[in-house]
Amino acid sequence: MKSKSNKKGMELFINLFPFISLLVVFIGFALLSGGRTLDINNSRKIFEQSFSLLIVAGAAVFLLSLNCLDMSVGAAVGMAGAVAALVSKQSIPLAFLAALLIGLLIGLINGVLHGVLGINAMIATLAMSFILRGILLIVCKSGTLGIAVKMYDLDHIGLKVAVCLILLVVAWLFFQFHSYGKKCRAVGAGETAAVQSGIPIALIKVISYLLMGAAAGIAGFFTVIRTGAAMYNTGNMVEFDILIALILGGMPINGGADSKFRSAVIGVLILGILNNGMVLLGLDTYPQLITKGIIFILVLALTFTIRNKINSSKKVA
Amino acid sequence: MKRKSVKRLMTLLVTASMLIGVVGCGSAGGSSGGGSTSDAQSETKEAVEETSQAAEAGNDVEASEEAPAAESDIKLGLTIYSTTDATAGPVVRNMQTACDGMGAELVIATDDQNLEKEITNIENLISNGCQAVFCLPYSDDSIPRIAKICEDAGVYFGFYWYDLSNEETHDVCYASEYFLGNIYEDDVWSAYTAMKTLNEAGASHIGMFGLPTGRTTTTKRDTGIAQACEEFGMEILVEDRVNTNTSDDAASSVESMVSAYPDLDGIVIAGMTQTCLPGVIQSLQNLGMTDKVKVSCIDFNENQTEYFEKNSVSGVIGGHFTGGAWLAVLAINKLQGTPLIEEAVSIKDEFLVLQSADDAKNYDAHLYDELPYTAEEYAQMSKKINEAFTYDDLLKIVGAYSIEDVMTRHGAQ
Repeated sequence: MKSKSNKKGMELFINLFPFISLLVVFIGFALLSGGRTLDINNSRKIFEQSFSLLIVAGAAVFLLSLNCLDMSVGAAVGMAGAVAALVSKQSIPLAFLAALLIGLLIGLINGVLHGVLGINAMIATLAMSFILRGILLIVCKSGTLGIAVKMYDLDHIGLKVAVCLILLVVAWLFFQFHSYGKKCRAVGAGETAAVQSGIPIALIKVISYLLMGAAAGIAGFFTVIRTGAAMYNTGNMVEFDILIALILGGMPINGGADSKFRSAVIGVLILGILNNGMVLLGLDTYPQLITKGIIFILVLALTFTIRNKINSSKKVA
Repeated sequence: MKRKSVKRLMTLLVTASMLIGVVGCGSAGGSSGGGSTSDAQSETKEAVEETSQAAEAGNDVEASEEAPAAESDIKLGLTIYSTTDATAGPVVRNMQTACDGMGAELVIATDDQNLEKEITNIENLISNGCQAVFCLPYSDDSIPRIAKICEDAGVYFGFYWYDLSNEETHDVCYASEYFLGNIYEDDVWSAYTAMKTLNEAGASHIGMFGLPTGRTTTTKRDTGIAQACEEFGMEILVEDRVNTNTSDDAASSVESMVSAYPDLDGIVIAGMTQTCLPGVIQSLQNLGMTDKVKVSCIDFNENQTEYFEKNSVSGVIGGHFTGGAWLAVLAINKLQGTPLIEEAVSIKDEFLVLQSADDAKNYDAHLYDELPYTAEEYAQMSKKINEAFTYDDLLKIVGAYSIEDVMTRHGAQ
């Protein structure tokens, strides 16, 4: 009886934790900055700064729920951005298509490497990241690639909101209600059980990496619109930002049945407000990095410990 | 049961306060290099003295020697790749001193030479209330974007270490009423001089470490190197623009260069010196080729005095650390309603050339440990404090920048 109420309490805490964190960060920075974070223009900037991360984090939910990682997302964003910048001089729709296709191609290769050939996801995607960064250096001639001036017209908040809403709602519906999303969580909860249930694990993984690649393509396209150019280090560290955001948003590090799509949205929002708020408070970069690292470890340690307790109490029951 | 609920609530509150505590903690927080050339030592002193005297002679002029109160309603923003290394660190310190002297607040954000971070920093600095922001654009193509962000926000902007020779970006900037100007260096000259010091040390078959392409700085430095090659009969045997981010990569690259080109007798580092130079020196030392392969570089670094003492380097060109401060002088005067000049300006900042351990020691003592201009000297560059100060006076000070100039002004010579 006692352990049952304990378990319920821990589950409630785990479920509420991301919301509380978001609220704390939101209210905390609003108070500390004298309301500057609440300014409409600043809120708009937070959205614009978080836009690309939101897109890729949405797709990463599928992968992480499978207990898979993609360490090449950042390089894929950079690659898609560079291709978009190159093609933009010919045609802007073609540039979008090219970015999307290059993302899909990278996703397909990652999917085949891990899903079909069974190479460890982290090793395979890390190797892919090196390859892409190498190609990126050659494509950018170790420098930058400018976009066509017309492309600046697409740097419109309305367009970004529309794209973001459509992609996130579709992804949420798929993750939450479609059999594909349920299969992702089932595979993450236990691969052996999923195989024995007849779930085509390889196909599920390939599709998830394809989604990740497509998201990286779209994010790359919008990233170069925002910066005006692709650089050899475009998309640097995006994979880590995704991981931090998802964990802050309450995503279990091992994926599985407890994976929630909202983790992406809440996590990216927390990270966006944190990044913006720390600059607004005038914090130097090094304390910023330390702060982010500490928060990440705290959240990870707290949620990991509690999840372990919940899981062990489930086993006992 | 109730006690349990209270416990849970407490856990939530403690976690929440922990997050706030961690978020609320922390705040802000550089070593060096080497010497000089230049003849116009006393121009700076004269410029400041002349204007101070003129100010004293005037009626309602606040010619105070003291820096204005720290409380200021002028806030400037700077995005830079680092705040601590031997090149970026002095830029930040000089700019901070200018702001302290002239009564402005400086907010700094670092960008790791990443375009997305630079844009994000500019947006966040503007949200922070900065009335002017300064950056080194990592690509000509990002300038229209930076200009638009600043125009939309009604915030002044300017570039340090940036030559606006690209016609398109030049036009974009000068079309903006918020563009204050750019501080640039003669990068053709710096690269030419780095090559010249190698030539004087007897080197003619050169390996080059360069900056990424796509930047005006890169093009100019490449031009300077080509000019020196033609004039001194030197030859670039190999160039590396990739293995420049870490000392390890640079060291491995040197090993490859030396084994592939036995004739190699010189290495020029035309950028990324902070990361390249230690690897290059270490690698040559390990190969026992310090005497055979001469090294020169653009940009100062932490260990240059020691390198000169061990004859590991022949020349170091750098010390162009006051650009941010000049932008601050322009911005603060403008924001105080007493602009030094109405239109946007392009100001050439001077390089220093170090060719000996003595040069390096003088630089360390008088331009690094102590900055080239004191807060009081900067205060005199504010028209609000020193009404007689003019844009021409500023140009005189900028043009006179040299180790001798600083030593003379600060009574060390």
